[in-house]
Amino acid sequence: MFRKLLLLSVFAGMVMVFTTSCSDEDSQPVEATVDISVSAKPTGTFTFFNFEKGQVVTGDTMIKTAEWDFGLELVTFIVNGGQDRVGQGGAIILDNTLEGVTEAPETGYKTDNGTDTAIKDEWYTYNPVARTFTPKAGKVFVFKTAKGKYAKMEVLGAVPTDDNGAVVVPPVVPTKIKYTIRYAFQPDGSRNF
Amino acid sequence: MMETVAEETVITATRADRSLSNVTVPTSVIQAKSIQNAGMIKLSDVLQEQSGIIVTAAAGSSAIGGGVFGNGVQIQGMNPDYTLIMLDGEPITGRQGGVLDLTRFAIGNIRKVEIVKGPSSSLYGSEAMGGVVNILTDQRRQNQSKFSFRFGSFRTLDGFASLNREIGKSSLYVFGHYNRSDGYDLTPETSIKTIDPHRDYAVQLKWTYRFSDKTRLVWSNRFFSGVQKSLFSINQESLEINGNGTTTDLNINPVLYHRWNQKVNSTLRFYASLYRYDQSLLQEDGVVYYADDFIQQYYRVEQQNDWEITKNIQFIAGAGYNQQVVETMRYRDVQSQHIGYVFSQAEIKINKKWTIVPGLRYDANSAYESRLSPKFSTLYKINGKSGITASYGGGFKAPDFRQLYLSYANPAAQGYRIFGANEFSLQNMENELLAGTLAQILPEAYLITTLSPEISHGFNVGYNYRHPKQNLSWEVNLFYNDIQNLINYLPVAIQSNGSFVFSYKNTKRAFTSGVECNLSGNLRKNISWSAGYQFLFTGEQAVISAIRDEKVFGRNRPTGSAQIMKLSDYSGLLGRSPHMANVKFEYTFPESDWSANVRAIYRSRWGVVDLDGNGFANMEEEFAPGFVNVNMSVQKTFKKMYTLQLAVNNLLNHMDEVNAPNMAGTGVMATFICQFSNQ
Repeated sequence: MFRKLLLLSVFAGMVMVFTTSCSDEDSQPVEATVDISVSAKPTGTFTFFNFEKGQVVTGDTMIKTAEWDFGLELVTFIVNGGQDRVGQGGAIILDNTLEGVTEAPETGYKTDNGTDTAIKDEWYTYNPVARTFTPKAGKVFVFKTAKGKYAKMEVLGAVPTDDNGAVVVPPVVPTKIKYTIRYAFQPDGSRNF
Repeated sequence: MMETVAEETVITATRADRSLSNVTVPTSVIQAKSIQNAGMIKLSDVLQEQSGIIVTAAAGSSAIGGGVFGNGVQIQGMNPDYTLIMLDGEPITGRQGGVLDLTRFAIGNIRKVEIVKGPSSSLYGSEAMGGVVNILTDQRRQNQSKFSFRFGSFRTLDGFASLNREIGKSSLYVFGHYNRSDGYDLTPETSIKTIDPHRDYAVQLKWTYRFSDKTRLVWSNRFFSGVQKSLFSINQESLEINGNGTTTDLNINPVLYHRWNQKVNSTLRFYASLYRYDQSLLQEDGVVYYADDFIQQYYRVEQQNDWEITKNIQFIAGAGYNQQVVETMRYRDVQSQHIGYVFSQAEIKINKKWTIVPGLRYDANSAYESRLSPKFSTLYKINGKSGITASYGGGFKAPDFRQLYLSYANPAAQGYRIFGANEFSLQNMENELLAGTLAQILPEAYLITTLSPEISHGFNVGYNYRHPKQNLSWEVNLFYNDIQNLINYLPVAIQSNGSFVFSYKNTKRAFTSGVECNLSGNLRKNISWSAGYQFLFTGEQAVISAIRDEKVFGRNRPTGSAQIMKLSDYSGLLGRSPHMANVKFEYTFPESDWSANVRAIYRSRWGVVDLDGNGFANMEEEFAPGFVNVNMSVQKTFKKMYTLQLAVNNLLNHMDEVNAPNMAGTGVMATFICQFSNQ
């Protein structure tokens, strides 16, 4: 009986090693840290980001395509999924470090549906006296992209600037915000990071 | 301070004159002599040198806010809002942004300053959470006149004259003070000065009339007026802004004392205070850049009775009523509050060694929940030299007018709006959302409700030792304050221009704890010394348990990746230095009237800002650097009448425009004091 149990556990261990090494052979996530400049006015002019391309994508009717994964304006994020969007995207915010998220959750991705947006204002704080807002450390955005792949992201910094990218301080009103984001995108479609 | 160890009395601890060695709560007294010998002009500078007291400087430029909000005191790690500051036992009004500017008080007429640490709401009501500072002005039954004139760095001119006269049954005290300074600029590269040029004067008139041996009236009036001048440029120095901020403060305070018999005394106090701050800054094209007009009226009547029930039981009971009216452009209407209160306290000597002091106060008011504040303190004298004290006190702070009634829109482009809890209306927010001026109502908006007072429970345990012959004393006091219902602003909506709407809510719970030690003695016959140290540990219980659960994150540098925070990363509440220390040496030259002193204070680094959203300082960029400040003075008295003094302040020239704008660079001050007495 005892030997049987031992054999069984050795077998189970081998299976585990096999499956882990199997996923190790899948493609590694693409990691990058990039700056993106977005509008500081809440007028609906979003800046769109595509994880697969690793850059901002532009175009007049971009919002109506599946070419973008998230859009950002001031502190408002939109995702490419939900009743008014063409993509299959969504997002979850997890309390963790970027390294701490080793696997994207299977379910629970929220989408934009009218005023019920996927990403609410839980990821930053605002100081009315200094008139600065601060991305909170330890908020990991896990995105399902427009094409159904997975990416994880943290916002490292947000700096108010003018149109030329020069940093401004109150009382000068910024027209742009330069965000620094760090992300990992899994191109093979799996949930592993 | 050691010169008066033997017969020092204090009134603030129990609302009755008691010998300092019989007081059951942590109390310290700064005598006029120490204040004069320090060679400083402002009360805040003097307080800064006391153990366990930190003078906090308001951040921001002096042009807007900074100069107004001024310098407040932090006692036992509690914010300046939580210390009650009184002048001759009456609360001082004119708090702006919760902070009372101590630079308003001249020190030429101060007899002594009494500081009681720990919650004292059982005697004084709201605000007496961290402690009480009571500034007692001069009055003596002898003919005396005193003049002082000083000048020094930053084109500072300061002078006062005081006169005591006995005329029949009356004593008259007249005091006048004038001060002016060019201010100073710690960042000459910007056009905004750190401290603007200012000038102010104060007049105090105190009249005592003795109807009989049993009855006397003390009528005190004080008037203060100060002007601060601002001149700076904005928009890349292209547009000049010019204007004044004017503070006026009038106090009228008649007090009637009557002794019914050997055992019963009564006091009837009236107090009226009118405070106004009016600031107007204009652009050179005549457009108003900034304007603020704040008027506060405060009226109080209070009656107190002291009974000696037996030789071992002293009983105090009293009642009072006050009304406050505040009018400002930042409130929608003129706002007023009424508070009625009763208080009582017994001092019971159980035996020769052991005294207990229970006390209770009830505050009922028109604008928020009523409050019952208990206190219990005890003293056990081990022998003639040492004793143990212990106390528990409940403290509270009423929601202030700002937290209740503020209705303010920042006039700057893309400005935010902020509403007091009583002014906030969800219905209005929803209407604005429909009208399109609001982009989003945040979930926090649904949580705004009637504010409760902030409350605290404070515990103090102390040991003290005094050796009168060797003039050696040391004391140690441990304290713990649990503060609940802290009121904070929080965002409740996002405007369609991108900025926020804020309101106030009771949210957090926090604690401050630590230990304070004081030592003093004589090194040789001519050298006396004192030293003090405070260790402070503050924080929020909820944050500490979240850190233990590895649920708190932070960055190691401003745009670094998030890390899990450890307890060693936690620095507690912002603005608190874990260590502060002071040391003082005074040398008196034998057989001449020379004396000299040197004083140093140390304050370790403190958190000033949160750059990673976890609510506390953990990375280097979130701290203000610690500092050492050294001050010294030398004085000589001629013919017991004339004193010449030379003082050097901030000898190490510590300057930090952002975190310590109240500290100018090294400054020199020369003073001439002339005092005539005739019996």
